[in-house]
Amino acid sequence: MEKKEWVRLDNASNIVLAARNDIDTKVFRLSAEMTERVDPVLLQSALVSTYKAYPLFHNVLRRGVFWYYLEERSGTPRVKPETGPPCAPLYHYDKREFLFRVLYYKDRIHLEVFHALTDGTGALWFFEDLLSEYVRLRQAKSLESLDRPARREKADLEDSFKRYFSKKKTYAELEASIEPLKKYKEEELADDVDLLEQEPKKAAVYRIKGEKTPDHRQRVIEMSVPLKEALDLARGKEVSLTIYLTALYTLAVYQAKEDKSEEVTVTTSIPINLRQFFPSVSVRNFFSTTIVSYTFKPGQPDYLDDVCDKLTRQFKSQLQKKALEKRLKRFIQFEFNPLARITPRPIKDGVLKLVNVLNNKHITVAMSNLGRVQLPKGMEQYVKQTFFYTAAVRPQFCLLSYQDVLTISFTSPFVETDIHREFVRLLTERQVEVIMDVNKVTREEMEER
Amino acid sequence: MKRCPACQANVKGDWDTCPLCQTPLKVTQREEQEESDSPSVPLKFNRKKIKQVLSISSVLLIILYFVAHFIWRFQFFNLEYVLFGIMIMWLMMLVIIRKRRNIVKGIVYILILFSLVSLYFDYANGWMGWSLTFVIPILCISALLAMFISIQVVDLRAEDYVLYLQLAAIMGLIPAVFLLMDWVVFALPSLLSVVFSLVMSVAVFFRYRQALIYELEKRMHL
Repeated sequence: MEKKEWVRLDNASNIVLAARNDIDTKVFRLSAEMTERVDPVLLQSALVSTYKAYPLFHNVLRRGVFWYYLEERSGTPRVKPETGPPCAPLYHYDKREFLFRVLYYKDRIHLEVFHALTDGTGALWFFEDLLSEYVRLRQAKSLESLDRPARREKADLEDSFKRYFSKKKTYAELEASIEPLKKYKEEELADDVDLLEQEPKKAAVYRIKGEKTPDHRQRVIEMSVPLKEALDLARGKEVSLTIYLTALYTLAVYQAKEDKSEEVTVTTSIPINLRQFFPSVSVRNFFSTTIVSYTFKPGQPDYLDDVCDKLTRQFKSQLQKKALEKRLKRFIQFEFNPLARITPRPIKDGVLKLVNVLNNKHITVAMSNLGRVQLPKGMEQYVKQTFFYTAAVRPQFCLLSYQDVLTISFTSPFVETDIHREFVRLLTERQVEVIMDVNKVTREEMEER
Repeated sequence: MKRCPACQANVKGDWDTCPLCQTPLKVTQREEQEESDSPSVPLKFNRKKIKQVLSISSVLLIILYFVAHFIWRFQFFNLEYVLFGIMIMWLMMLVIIRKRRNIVKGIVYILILFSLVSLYFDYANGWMGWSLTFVIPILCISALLAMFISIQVVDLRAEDYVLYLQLAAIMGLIPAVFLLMDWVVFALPSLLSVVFSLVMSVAVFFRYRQALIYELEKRMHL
């Protein structure tokens, strides 16, 4: 019998698995709109060669007695035309399925990834390489082929949570091992304790309720806006784009709420890519999440400045090295706790599910900013626009920019679109040109025509 | 592209009213309608059918029981038996659905489930020992046989079944305890189960030792 390689699952993936359900499939999608119809044959060849370069993507998820694990599988993935709803489940227990899929529809290429395999960054690397290869093959036809892009420096199977946050490593060892990775460090974490602002204990966080879509599909609303206009708006308030749009969204949530007679606390969960603070080229999950909140008090005339200010302060204080390390070390310690180790997996799943339900009580909405798509020069004439969104258990929006277009994609398990209506109006009031594409989720909408 | 006058935004796709605020859309100067970039996907239907069939047959069984009583006017057995049968039907369906992707695993589950059910039933009806004498040993033997056959028939990889096969073989040794403690009325079924399981267990161990150790390492990692 041939031996199949296997690896332990990383810390974040265990939590992802516990939070997964029929509605929140924990599958996210990266899409590219090409300038012409997608050629499935070329896409398949591009997939095969990209797949070869990413050993992590060869893995399937299996259940052990105590833990889940990733196991290598043979065979090659196939591209398929898109026929179902977006972000459909990718993991079914006892089935050896790839944890990602590549789809195409008209002029679009989609990559859908199960979050236990990797995070947005890892998936974006794969996606960029897939697109580059596709365009390279496409151009081979016209004899002015691009060169193969330089090989990405990456460590497919490295568990960076363990590298940085396990107790066993001494500081010197750690320093030595990350020396060659230093160049990937983008930002220094704040280190002054003054910023740590103790938030008053939130009484009750507003949780959005609505009518669930009939077959659990996500309501998807893609908005395309000029990147420059969005950046200018954020700069006008002297905050980052992430914070600015989160503030607008927070405000939209409040405006869409009918009963405003009492105080309303709206919180947003924001994932943080840890690679920028703890240099790593791991393709696997390496992220953490933070929550920012704002409490609306009735009768205030204009909220936006105040929201921007409060969210920025909270975000900064949570990005402190000490706070972040403490949080992550706690998670890792739980994983290495002897009692936790010998608890059978179904019980661990149950406990984590419960923890997840309790955590969700503190979250109103979520957002995720994946930054910019970087493609080799000369690809602009083939790739028009990119999109990023994820299946969500609560209304969420995701950001991705490419060239001069920012796409803000909203997903929600609910039919209602009132928050999105408020959001788009907040944007257009500020003279931002918006194009939106909304999917149909109810029978009435489908029969309208 | 169409435009919503209230939201001041352009809308892709074949909407007549704004998908966000239901205001009728205006067609802008540029006549061509920008197609939506996602396919229209018809609604999927839920897998409610199995539940429906099971519920209806459960109710029918209960009605049948009362009708039979009404016609023949003497008591065959209590309603408990019918309810119990219905419960087993549901459990069985659940196991089959949950374990449909690995038949050998499903057999192990059914073996355990039915052994427990028979133990309980024997106990509940004044202990006569038929569960230990007949049901459990025979279940063990048939489970091993069923596994053996399904491995030949269904395309399964060794790594998928060795552990379950070994587990079932070890469970088949349990009737040895019944024999030693003298809990059984007839020794033959238990004896058969023990011998059969022993042979199977040893055979599996020698044939698939490497796979067994590797699978154990992988699945039991702490």
